Amino acid sequence: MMFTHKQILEESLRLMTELSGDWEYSGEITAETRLLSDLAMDSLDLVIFGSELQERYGQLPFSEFLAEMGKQEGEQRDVTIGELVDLICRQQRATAPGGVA
Amino acid sequence: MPKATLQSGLKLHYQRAGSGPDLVMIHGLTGNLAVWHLKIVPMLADHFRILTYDLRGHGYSDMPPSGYTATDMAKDLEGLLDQLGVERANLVGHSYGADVALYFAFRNPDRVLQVGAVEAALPALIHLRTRDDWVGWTYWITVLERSGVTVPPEHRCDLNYMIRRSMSLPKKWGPLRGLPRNPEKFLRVLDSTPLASDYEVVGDLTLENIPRIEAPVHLVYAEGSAFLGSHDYLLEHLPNARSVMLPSSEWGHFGPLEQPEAVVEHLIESLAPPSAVENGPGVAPRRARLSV
Repeated sequence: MMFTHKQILEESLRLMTELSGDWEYSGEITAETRLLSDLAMDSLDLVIFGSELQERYGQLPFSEFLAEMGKQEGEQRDVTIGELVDLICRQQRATAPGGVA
Repeated sequence: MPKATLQSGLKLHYQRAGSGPDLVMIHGLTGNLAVWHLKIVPMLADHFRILTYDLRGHGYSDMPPSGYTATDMAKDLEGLLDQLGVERANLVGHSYGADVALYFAFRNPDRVLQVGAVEAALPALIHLRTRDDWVGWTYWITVLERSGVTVPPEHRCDLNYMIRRSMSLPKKWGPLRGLPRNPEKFLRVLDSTPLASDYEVVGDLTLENIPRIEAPVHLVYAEGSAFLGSHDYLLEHLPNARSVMLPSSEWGHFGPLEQPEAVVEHLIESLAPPSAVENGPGVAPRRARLSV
């Protein structure tokens, strides 16, 4: 089943808001919210978030995505929720019948 | 996030991935289940149905005020597998997680296919690593001092001190490498539970009981690791053990983080051969070291 960008974004924000209760973060969460510098997510949080997303949207190249993020210099290293949603949309298109990776 | 409530009331956070024979992966002290997920789980997911979980006091599992011995942790795993309906599984643990796997294997011979003990230490073998001349102290001090942390002479064999100072080092692996650690949660478990002293409690797995572990055990260690004393003892005293030596690495004890590909290769070779899956745990024991 294909989801629209809007649907995935809404679900990701809802999921992140739900999980952030455990992460002791109470600010508003938007597409621009950064996982590391705003939410102070740890490796464990990234794993949990990735696993929840994959449960909903199927297999994602999540460890490759994290490895790419890990290559950025310390100060710039980050990813927004919107960028993660873009990844899911790209992956959906790539795995759809006739899709191109 | 998925949590199982054990009969004891304890809630443990867990994750599942993949398909195939059951494989439980148990992290070590100061860790959490993420240690397996960043590299190793994606590589094993085609071969096993993997269960990872946070030990009590770690990650997003409950932090009760007591019960942190390896025997307690093995009981937690029994409760978790009961709760999730896992009858029998391969177990892979790192460091204290490997100890927990061996305690579980001793207590539950019918529930274990094989054990991958990565850098197991074992409380019964603590005499090998508490003496002042244990190579691990020198190695640990060198790592800390290389990172600018000075260890005063009176603390050079002080486990509690060394763990706390190590928390000030930046993260060493994974996508957050080089960024500062968030040690609050781990310091909380050290400060508010008997973890540090429970870690040394021998409990079920005494020296006399080590030879009674029936399951095949793959002893996975890095060349030059400070825990080779435990490796040698276990290889000699376990009835069904095999040695797997990884190449030496900067932080030899942390093989799964430093050499995930090598660990995975050995796990697939050791735990997932089609004959072993079909015929149960009856692989022939190999007692020789693969490489020296």
